[in-house]
Amino acid sequence: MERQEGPEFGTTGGGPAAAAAPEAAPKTPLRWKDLPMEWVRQVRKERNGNARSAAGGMGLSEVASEEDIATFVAAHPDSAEAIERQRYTNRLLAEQKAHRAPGEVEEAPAIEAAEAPDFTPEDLSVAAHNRRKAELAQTVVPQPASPLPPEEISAPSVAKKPKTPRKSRKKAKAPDAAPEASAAPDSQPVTLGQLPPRVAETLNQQVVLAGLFGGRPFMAGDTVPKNALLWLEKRGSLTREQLAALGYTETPTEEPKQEKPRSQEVSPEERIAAARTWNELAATIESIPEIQGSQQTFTGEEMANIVRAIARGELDSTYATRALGIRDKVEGLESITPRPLPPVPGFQDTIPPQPGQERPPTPEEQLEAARLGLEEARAAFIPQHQAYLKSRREKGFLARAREALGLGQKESESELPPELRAAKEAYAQAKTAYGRQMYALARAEHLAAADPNLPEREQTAEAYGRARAFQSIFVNERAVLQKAEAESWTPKERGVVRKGFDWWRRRGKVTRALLSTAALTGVAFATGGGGAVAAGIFAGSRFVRSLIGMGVGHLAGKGFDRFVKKPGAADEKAERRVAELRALYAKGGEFWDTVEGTRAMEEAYGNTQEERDREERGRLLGKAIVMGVAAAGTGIGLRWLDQAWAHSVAPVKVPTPGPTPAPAPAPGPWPPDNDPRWGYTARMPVPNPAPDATPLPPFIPKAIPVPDATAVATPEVDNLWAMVRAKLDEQGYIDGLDTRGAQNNLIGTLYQKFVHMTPAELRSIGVASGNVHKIALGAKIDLSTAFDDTAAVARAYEHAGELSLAQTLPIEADASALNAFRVAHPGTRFTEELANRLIRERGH
Amino acid sequence: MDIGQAAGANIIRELGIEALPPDEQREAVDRAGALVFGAVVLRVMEQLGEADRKKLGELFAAETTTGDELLAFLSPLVPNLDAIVAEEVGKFKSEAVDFLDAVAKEG
Repeated sequence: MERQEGPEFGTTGGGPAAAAAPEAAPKTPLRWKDLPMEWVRQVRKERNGNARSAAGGMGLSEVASEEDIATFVAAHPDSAEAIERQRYTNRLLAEQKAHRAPGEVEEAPAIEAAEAPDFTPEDLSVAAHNRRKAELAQTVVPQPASPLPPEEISAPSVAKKPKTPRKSRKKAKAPDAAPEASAAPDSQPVTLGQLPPRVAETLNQQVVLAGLFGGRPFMAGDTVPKNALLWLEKRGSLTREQLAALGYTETPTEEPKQEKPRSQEVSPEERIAAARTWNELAATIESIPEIQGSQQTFTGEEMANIVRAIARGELDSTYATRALGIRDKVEGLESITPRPLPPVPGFQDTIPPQPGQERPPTPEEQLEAARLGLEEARAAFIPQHQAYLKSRREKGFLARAREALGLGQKESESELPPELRAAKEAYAQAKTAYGRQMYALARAEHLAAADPNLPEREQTAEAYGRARAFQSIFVNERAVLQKAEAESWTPKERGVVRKGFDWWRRRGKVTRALLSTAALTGVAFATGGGGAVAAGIFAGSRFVRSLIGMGVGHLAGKGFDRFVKKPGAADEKAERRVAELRALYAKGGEFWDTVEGTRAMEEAYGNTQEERDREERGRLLGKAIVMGVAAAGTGIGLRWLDQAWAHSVAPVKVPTPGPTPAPAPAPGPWPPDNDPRWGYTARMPVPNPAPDATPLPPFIPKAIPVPDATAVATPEVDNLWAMVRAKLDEQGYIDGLDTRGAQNNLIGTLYQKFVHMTPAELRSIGVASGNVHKIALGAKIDLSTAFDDTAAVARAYEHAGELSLAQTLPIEADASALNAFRVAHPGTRFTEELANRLIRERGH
Repeated sequence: MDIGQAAGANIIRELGIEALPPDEQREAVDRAGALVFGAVVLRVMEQLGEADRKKLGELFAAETTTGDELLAFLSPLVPNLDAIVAEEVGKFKSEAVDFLDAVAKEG
């Protein structure tokens, strides 16, 4: 379907008529939640100095002022049309709602009961709203990844696209797909502006409420699909003569699809349980006004946003409430639904070729083409695979008994029907083709961003490409296939499989991680044959304990040394954790044989490992900045036990920066600006550099993500410097910098934010005295002003490796050392070089 | 990669997981473990009668069921349980390595 974009899209709201005469229509209000979240955060931050403080600024459901929207449109001119559509959609929805009696369930107009869609009007409203929002976000902010995993990859896609023509093909079509009509050679494109206003309005109501034609209302300049015209004719809105007058003469071949109505009696729990995809689940939850959790109450919107974050992999499933079966559903989806593909930088910046101009497809386009090929091959393979599994199962007890006795083969390629074999092979080839594209793209992305002088550059790029292909394709496809296999059973048996997954998830993340690593590293088979193999998967308690024991042993060896060698508070904490774990382990068999003992061990072990992860993350982040390297590939090793028994794997080499690491010119920012792996999600538009532009500077983060920026003054941490340090330390950012001077430089630059505050500003963040040097014990200080200050953070990291301490940090510990030197060597000219040397000596 | 050899091999390096940040490493490993477990359950289901499948579902559903109890239930009913586990682990690993080798070969 083609939508023509005309100049008539103004900045008012109101739809096609308004588009034609902007000043005639009143502006339909937009809420903040209708606008891209990145921009909302930015506005909040500018107003409140704290982007995370939802309560401190405008609520998402509040109406955005026209002034704000005008500012937004001025900054993002491309958004004008999307804004206009959003206004129009809001107006249609509001009108539809206004026509309902209290308690009456909304119905899409003119849809016969038997044809009504398989979702409630509330769902449709939410879905339409979300589509608008995604469209708007795409227009304004380059966000390579969809906010939710692609629907089409999830299980229902299996039936979406049969390869060979079948009678049932029409039924498999998505309800919001644009129906296709055979084009009449003499038919002319008809735009919405050509239709009578009443007819145009009716059509758009249908589009928005039933989610037809992509759920996107037509504007005056948009071409109206032929089937939409025919539908209007059928319902009597347009006569055949009117159609002919518009230049359209075709007869209907297919009508907009409507599906059966969902029962109005369905409870929220049932609707949640019935959700098949992340999008469905989020939309269902969003339509629930209030959800009472065990500890707090959520609005549907809040919980839907949490679910979306879980779907994107940004949050753990434990953030979802158990109420209404939401967490169970989330965990179920996690186990079977593919994750979204990794972001493809620059994909949306691809410039379409001019008419008549040809160019080779970009890597991103090749990737997309390969993905579509895989979709098609999978859709052809899975139904045949399911049918084959069913037929095998029907062989009955004898076949099962033979297999149980090791006499039968589960599946032999040569025994497969030729058609299935061909489909399987095509699927495998398509998977490989897609994998190659993704591998090449990820590898190239890594190479482009990595320090050219890094010896391991090629190796780490290859590893990165492999990891991406493994996670995004191999694991996802396995999950889809497994779900299809489960679906080849009857619903009752499917329930057993689902309960099996629930049971696995209840094992706890530490046990799961131990067992999964044991399987991938082969340790499950190295620790003894026989029952140990099965125990390795079914989590026999002794097996889990033995794994933890190996982990403890590993921590007591080289890994432990490396872990605790560095000085500083974070290492002391890590050492304490390891000591706790070892003490627990030393309690021996009687203690372990209790459920509490095993759980305590698991918890202590998990905490220890997480401590290490934090330390590692901070260290790499710092190196990435100081050295300008692609640190993601520098070999951090698998934290969960692999090195304990990595007999077949060469040790991972971690490159050590030289004493004066000079930032190497990098061709682009690293990590990518929108890469959530690094703990921040700045997704502001980045202008494309000119082809011959000088290399971009090394990556500078936009902010320091700190989950809780509030610090409490204690006798040990009784000043702002120490508070900033402790907070950075807590998150592992301090150890990310290689010298004490660099650490202090980072802390000090952030600290300067407070030094320059007025007494009133200091009081507003919790410094009651208004004096930066007078902090009362127990005072709770909000440090987010510094951590969220883009300029301060950028400055801090820019200077972190330069050791210009003498100029910028005449404060606290290092300053006292410099002063001591000054006193001891009166008359010595105090240069930056000298300061650097002194600080280096202190730092090592 | 041969399935029998793959079961006992350490394929962490072949998967490239060490190139990912720690949280993604954990996620990748966790998902792999869940898939292997799911494959084993599906294989086991094939060998159980209807009543035993029902009983297995009850065991899975009970909050207190331990891995040892599951093993005690399954072992007499599925004498080749170890072989199934070994085969499914090996299959996952060999297919993953073969896939990634093919992908990287011409990537």
